[in-house]
Amino acid sequence: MEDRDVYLDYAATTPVDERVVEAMLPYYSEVWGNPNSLYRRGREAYTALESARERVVSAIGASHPNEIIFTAGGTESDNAALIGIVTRAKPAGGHVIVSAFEHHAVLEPAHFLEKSGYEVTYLAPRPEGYIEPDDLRVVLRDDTVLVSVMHGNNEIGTLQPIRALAEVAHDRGALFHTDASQTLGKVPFDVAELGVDAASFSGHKIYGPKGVGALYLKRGTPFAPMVRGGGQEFKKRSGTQNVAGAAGFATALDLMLAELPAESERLAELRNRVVEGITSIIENTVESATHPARLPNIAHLIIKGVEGEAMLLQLDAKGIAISTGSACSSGSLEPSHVLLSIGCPAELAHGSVRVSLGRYTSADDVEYFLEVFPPIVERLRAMSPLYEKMFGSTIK
Amino acid sequence: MASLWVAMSGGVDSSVAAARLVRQGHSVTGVTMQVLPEGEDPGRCCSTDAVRAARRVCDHLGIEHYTLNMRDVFESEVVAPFVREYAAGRTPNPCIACNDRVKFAILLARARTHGADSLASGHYARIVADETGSLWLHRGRDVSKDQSYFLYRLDEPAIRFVCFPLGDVTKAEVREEARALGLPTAERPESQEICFIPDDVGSFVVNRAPVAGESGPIVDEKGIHVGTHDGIARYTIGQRKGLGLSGGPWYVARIRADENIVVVCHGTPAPITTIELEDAVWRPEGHERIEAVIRYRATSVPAQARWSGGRLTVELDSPAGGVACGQAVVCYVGDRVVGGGVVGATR
Repeated sequence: MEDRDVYLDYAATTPVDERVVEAMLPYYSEVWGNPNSLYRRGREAYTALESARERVVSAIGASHPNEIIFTAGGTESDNAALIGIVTRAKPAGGHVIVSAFEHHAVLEPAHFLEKSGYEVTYLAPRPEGYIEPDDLRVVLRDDTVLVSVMHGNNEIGTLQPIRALAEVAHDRGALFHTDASQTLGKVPFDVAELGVDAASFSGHKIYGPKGVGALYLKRGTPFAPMVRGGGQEFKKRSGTQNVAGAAGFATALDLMLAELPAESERLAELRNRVVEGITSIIENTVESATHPARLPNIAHLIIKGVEGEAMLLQLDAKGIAISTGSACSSGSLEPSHVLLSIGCPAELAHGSVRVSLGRYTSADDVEYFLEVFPPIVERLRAMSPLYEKMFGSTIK
Repeated sequence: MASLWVAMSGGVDSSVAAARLVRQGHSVTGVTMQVLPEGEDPGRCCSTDAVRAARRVCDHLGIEHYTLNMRDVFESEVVAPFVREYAAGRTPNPCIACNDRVKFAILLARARTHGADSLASGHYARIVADETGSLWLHRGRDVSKDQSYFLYRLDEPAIRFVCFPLGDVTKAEVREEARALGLPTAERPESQEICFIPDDVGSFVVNRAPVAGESGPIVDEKGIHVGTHDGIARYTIGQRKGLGLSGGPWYVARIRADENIVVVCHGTPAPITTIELEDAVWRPEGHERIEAVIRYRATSVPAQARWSGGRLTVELDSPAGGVACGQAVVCYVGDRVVGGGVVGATR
């Protein structure tokens, strides 16, 4: 194993920024009260929690603190949004639309709703990698309760025209939710400007702690809580709040926003270097999606005729962490539903790599990757019957 | 020091195999093939549980672990052929297919690709060199656990690349070693079932090949109707129990899949002496005195093997019963595996 340790999988998770750790520590050891208690200790914790909430409110352009519900992460927020909104708005059944390349955190609750008697449309993206508002218009119905389209795709990195999509949904009387787990803090995100009714956020994608997230629910949006109990979080998510987590989330978000303009420019440059580097050095490689609006930090490429898994293992041996498709709990690999949804054949989908950059990625890291990766691809292709079948055995 | 991949099923055997290699100072990477769709596995070898167990063992040993997705290839090379064969009235052995077509084929190729010098597994079998330096597959020292039967299809290039650290030990010693090392899998129960079949074989096959679940006639050897079966997939050759026929004892002699007929006989299966093997492998030239193992764990019986034109015929010295089409017969000279094949016709 090489000594180099180059992490290029920031879309999977991020390390917790030391400044975030600092901001959280007091809420473990000093201000440890229950924020719902009435005495001083409780009030201190309450103040911390509500200050975190207010920082999130202003960071995303919400209008009132009770529009922000702290959760245990992006997945919980997505589940709560889909199931909570739909079952309260139309208890007797109705129609739901989600994009076909949503994260599983949206797709699985959609499947659940389907099994529970709702009709669900899985709206296919255009091959460029985005959901076309005109396509949404076509599938909307009078009984459509909710439309959910992610803000930025976690695999191919394309940004979706949320404002236009939300408008189309509202025109037909449907509510609109967006999963912004992958985009928050990386591109501007303002709920008022986008016109969404609900949005999901995750802490660990923005250098905050794992196990913390938030759900934005516009005031007046129908919602049935999934977690019931003592009525915390405006009766929308019971359970004693994770004060340190909330403080960490708010701090992480503040840092992201403070550094956003310069950082997104820096990352976009590095990202372009990755894409140019790979596509110019290695033949038969192509960027998976061509839609121009995209996250600054995700490069997603199809390396024809090579198994993604093989590339991942070889890079791991060189100390480089990348991903093929999206990370999954078992550490195993499936052909990506995202790539299949934009019309990429399964054979090619297996040979994709996602390189995602972040706060601690240096130009040097990118150059090391570009130095190590091409020979790996060449070696794997030389051994690949698939590549020979596709392009003949023309390895230089 | 060599760089090895160890195929880890999550069981105690492959765990100890990995531990032994680590102790010998090799650079070891644990790999587990994920072969079943998530949520559908019955929790045996290579299931999600097994992956977790293997990862815990690797963690304990301080080595890397990878989970490799082999679902598509396992489906096409093992599960689908098993269903096809079984629905055709034969008795295939999926473990042999997995070793031949997946573990010591695809996984072995991947190990090579990633620069490993060898692929190890926890099989009870040995690799032994002859006087000329050629390597042969031999029975494991623990005769009661010997698994060379499942590995008979390994060719010499594969044999040269593999490594069986448990070839010289007994199962009892392996358990003992696992306990002494404090391996998390030390007490994991032995898996005996087919890993991809959750309950009974018949239902699994019928589910995938409904035609094999259609009822039809049971006839005796003269063609006289003696009863009705509820799908040929629910019967295996030699079966005595659960036939629901009066005037027994009966046993299943043949399954004529194309006609959806189960043929039963009275008494004990007719002994046979000649076995034609299909899809056979064979290493020595010409005729051979061999010992044949006609199913897993059967005592070996003396026989004459004849290899000509890609066909292997085994003539047993004394007639034997219980040889079903689709089963594997493996040929030994002493402890050495010299060939084998799949039972086609018998006389």
